Amino acid sequence: MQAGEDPGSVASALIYLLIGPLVWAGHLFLVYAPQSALCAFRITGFASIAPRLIEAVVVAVTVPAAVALLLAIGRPRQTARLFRAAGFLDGENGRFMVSVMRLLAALSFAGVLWAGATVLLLPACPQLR
Amino acid sequence: MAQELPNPIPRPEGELEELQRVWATPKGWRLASAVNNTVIGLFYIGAAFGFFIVAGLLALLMRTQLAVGGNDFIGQELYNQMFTVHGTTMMFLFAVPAVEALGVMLLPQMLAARDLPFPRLSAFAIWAYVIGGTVFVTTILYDLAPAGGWFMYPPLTLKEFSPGNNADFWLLGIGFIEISAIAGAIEIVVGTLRTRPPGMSLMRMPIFAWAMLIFAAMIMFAFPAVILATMMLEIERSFGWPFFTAALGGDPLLWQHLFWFFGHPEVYIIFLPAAGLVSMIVPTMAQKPLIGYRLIVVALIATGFFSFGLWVHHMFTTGIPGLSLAFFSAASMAVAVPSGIQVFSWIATMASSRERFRINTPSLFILGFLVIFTIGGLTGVMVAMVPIDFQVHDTYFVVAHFHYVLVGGMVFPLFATFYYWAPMGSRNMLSERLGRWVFWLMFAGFNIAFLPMHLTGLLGMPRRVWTYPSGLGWDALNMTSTVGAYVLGAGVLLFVIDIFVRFRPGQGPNNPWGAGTLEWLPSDVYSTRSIPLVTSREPLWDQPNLAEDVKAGGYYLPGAPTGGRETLVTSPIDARPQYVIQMPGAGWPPFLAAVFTAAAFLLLTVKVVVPAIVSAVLAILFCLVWTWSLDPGPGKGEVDIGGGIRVPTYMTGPRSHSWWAVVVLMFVAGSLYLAYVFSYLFLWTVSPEVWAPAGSPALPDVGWPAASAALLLAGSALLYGARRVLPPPGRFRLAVPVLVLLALACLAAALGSEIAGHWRTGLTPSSNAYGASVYMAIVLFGQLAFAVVILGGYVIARHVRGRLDRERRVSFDNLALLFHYTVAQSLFGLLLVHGFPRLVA
Amino acid sequence: MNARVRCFALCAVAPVLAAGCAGVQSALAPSGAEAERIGLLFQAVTIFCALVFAGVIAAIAVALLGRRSWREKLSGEALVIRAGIFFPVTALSVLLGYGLYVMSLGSNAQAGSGLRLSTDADAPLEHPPGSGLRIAVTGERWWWRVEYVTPDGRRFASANELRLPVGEPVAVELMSDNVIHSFWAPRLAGKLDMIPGRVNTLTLTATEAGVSRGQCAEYCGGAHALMAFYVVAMPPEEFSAWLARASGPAVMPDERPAIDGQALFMTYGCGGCHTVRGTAARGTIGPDLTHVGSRLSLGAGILPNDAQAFARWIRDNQHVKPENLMPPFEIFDHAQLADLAAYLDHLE
Repeated sequence: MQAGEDPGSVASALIYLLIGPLVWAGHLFLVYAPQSALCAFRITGFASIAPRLIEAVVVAVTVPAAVALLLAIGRPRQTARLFRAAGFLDGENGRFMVSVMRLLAALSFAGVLWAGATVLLLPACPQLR
Repeated sequence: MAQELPNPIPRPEGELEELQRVWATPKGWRLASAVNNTVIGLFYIGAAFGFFIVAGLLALLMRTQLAVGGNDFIGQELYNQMFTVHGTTMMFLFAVPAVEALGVMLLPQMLAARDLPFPRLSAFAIWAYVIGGTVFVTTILYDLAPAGGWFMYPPLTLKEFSPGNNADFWLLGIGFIEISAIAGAIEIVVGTLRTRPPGMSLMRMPIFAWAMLIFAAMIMFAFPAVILATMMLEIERSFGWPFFTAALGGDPLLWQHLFWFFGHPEVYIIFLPAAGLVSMIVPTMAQKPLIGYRLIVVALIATGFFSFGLWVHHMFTTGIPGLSLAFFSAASMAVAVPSGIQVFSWIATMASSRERFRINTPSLFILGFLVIFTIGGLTGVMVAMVPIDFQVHDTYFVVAHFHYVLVGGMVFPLFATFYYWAPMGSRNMLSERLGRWVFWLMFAGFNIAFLPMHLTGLLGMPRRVWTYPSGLGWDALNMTSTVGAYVLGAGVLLFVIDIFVRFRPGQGPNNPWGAGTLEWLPSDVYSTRSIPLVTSREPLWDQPNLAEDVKAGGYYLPGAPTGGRETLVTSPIDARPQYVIQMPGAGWPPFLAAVFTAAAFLLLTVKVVVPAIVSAVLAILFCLVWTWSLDPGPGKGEVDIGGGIRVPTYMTGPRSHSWWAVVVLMFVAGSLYLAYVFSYLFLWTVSPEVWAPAGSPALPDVGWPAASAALLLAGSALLYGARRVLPPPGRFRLAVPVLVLLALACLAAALGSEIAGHWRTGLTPSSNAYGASVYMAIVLFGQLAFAVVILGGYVIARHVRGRLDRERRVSFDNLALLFHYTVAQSLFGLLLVHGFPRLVA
Repeated sequence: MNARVRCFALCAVAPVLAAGCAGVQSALAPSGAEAERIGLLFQAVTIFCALVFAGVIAAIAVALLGRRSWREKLSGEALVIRAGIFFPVTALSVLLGYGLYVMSLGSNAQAGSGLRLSTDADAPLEHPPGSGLRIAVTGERWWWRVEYVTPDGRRFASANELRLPVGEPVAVELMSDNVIHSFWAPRLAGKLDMIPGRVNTLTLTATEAGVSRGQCAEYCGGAHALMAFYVVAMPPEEFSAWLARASGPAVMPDERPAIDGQALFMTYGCGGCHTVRGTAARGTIGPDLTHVGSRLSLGAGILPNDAQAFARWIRDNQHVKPENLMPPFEIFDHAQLADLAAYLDHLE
């Protein structure tokens, strides 16, 4: 049996494969949770700074997420080492994993940009109805 | 070709007979005790299809009522029950179980495994589902059916607005599907990752296996949200803990968040396996490998993920801030891309066919699927645009949209599957001539029924109305839809006739379509005679003579070396042989456990408490009886599976399939707990005013949680100690039961201290949403602790009976995993419940 | 009351009507600012989707029937990447942008929106749109409680009907204290839910005078199907005149059947649930009946408003609208019913 197919390294390989969607999920969580929580707070005086704060959070989350995805797409081998998944990258199987990882990251990149760009077009809290 | 086979052929005499004896299917009424996937898979599909027929008949009755305005064919109350039962049955009793059934039926064949890794778990899940589902759908006959819609929004479904037991029957029906879905997810995750044939690395898996793997993973994270939601709703209905009552700090929107966090992925849970089936049929009909295999894998994974970012999509009109909606609108766009990838991959594969793409009943259904699903996908983009959804949400436009997605995306591929894979369960193929009629009737009927509904909705007709006034421009459209529904019904009826005429249980013709994947290997009750070494994605196309060599027993595990049922376990990524699982055969305990589980839930629903408890005890007892014979120990030593490979017949620790199953279960429990953490924080953001210390009694002194935490840690340490003192085989050591009992006692004491601490402050669960949230943490802790205590007793019993020791210790490992998980979750819970209010105060 | 308006409403309510009123509840015939914006967006997206669909069908047709050389062009990963990834990503970016742009045109009024009722439920909007007229609509089972709040602070109640001045944005505050309902007047705007514990604010701007119909869009149990309402958009001066009349007390009956009807109304305890301003009837459980005779419909948009319908409703309401919370009054004989109906019909 191949060395390294223990649950730990299988998990590393899985995480490596899923970097894109995981970053996307983290991004959605980190823009949506603060935004809806900050809008829900009704502390006097807070309402005026909340929109600025939300915009700052969205930008502060979107930029690193997008950069991380670009790095994963552009530097798949280094990324694999970072996630201790380099052992799986040899041969046909390895090429398959790298290409799946990069495509997923690319789709997630679109998702992250779309979600992040919304803040440029819409105010932070109103219902807009 | 001079390919060297792992095993010499011909095989020794008696080997095949042994295999047949071991895998023999019980006869007559004993069939109910069968656990083999090909047998219970058929029951499973049959039951799911039966529920499809029932829900379809309800739909026809409803369409009859709506044929003309102001109709009184069906009254208001019955109609409200009917659409609730129609939706619930289609989603929970038909769609999810049907695709899961196909997984049970087809996955082991595609992986050339002899069975799924936990046959009795499948049997249990299926019987619980059949009994529970049957009771649920029959409630419509005696006015006991729920009338709150399949989404069951509170406050409408709270006791105040839905008195009686009707809503509880919904919760009951869902309870069963939750059980069988989780059981199925465990089965499928472990099955696809660990029981593939040697050589079938991840990149050679059939697309259906990928789809099912993602399906199962999605169930692991989606279902817990609805499990928690249904628990909270039932608790609020029964005991008045106000999770959803605004006046006491609860919020009806909490239900919507939890329900749709499950409900939206649910659509893709249904669709992905169907898409996987399409990806299997298209290459066969084109006689060419799938174009864009890796792109389809990417599409499946991406869909699985993105579908979790869409739940607010169902809440666009609830008035939450526009920017929140926009995030989810963006995610809805993201999920459209993978569907595009799949559609064009299929088209490319069709085009790649050397001759013309073959047209027959399965491929007609695939083409119908492509057309219908494309329309559903495009209207999906429309409803993903927030402003458009403001208008069309909860109208017939949406009814049309999701029927295009679900009937197009799931029912048509399912019918393609019935025609294509009929030989997996029937001696005869289904009729090609009738099949074309079935297709054209269904295709025409479907479009006549649902295409006009887009317009009906835009003209203002809302969903879930039992009647409407004439003269609003909806009359002709509704009449057309009704006519179409009957045409669709006629198509399904013709299919049922075909089934009666042609379907005969057994093994059908060998590879009639000339497919390339392993389910078309010659097979018998034991599945394939030997388990092949796979070197490509379409082994039957690329490995000449494979079928004959497999049938002759030239490949791995051609017999039953341990004298019982077994299958090969391989490594999760590269599929290298690791060990042989010894699997249980037919038996009554899973069936009886299912019967008593069903009885327990049912009796509880109608509030007959004592018999309910008795049934629950019996159910647990039969579960323990069934597991007693598992965990066989290393007694059989190593066996030769062919090719000079000797593998063990027993495995403990992280490589064992059982360990993987418990890890899956822990993920389920973990996401359930995360859903709870979300609920706690969500309720706080909407009603901080009821939170301690301002709005509720102050938290207990820090000493209480500290004591609980210390007890929990002590419990973990004691159990660790018990593992260290496990004696070698054949010996009994008193320290084991003592340490396990002490560990369990610590867990119970921690639970007790947590309850006592809160109770002494005067906080009650029904006082407000804060109280309900606090005690809900305790409920979740108690639920796990209960399971751990049962398992602990079981482990002690096994040790006492000499069935558990240092080497034979899968049961102990499972207990330990669950125990430490419980401790970790509860410590986190203490931090949340005792820390968070102090932090924000 | 405007004769044209009444005729229009009658034909919508009466089941006998022909095509004349089709479209009275149609999102495709917008007569309000939000509905118009959405209508335009919808048309654009529909055309886009139709083109994509045609493209997919053409690709399938070529894949199945095309010449070999054509099919070869389709049969590669390049097709999947171009048509399945690049095209959708580009097209969806544009659509998302357009959708968000349409959203951004929605009202920016903030306070009260979607937030909890807990602390300052009745606090007026910080920046009410238009002249400051607000309408509070509460979802009941199964009718609409309507309360007008004029800019000068006057409040008066009505039910199952909204009157709007054309061209002026009006904030409609949506609430419920029972189950979830959803307020939907398709010709004016998209729907917005009424959720216990929250206040949602929808800004309606009628762009042309006329009557349209709306309906509850969130399943609310029981008679959900029979929970409709009318929106009457009136030229501003007509609206002012209406407002002055509608905010006043009820007209006192001055002739026989109506006078007897009023006596019955008072003695049989109708006032326990209903208010008729200017009389002893001050109940608030059921709809306010002060000017019920001037409304376009009875029973929340399900019966025409005439004496016969009043009688039918009082005696037979559980058949007309099953499960509604008003008990059927079978104690009245025909003459009494006629008197009551005359009284109610006269409350214009």
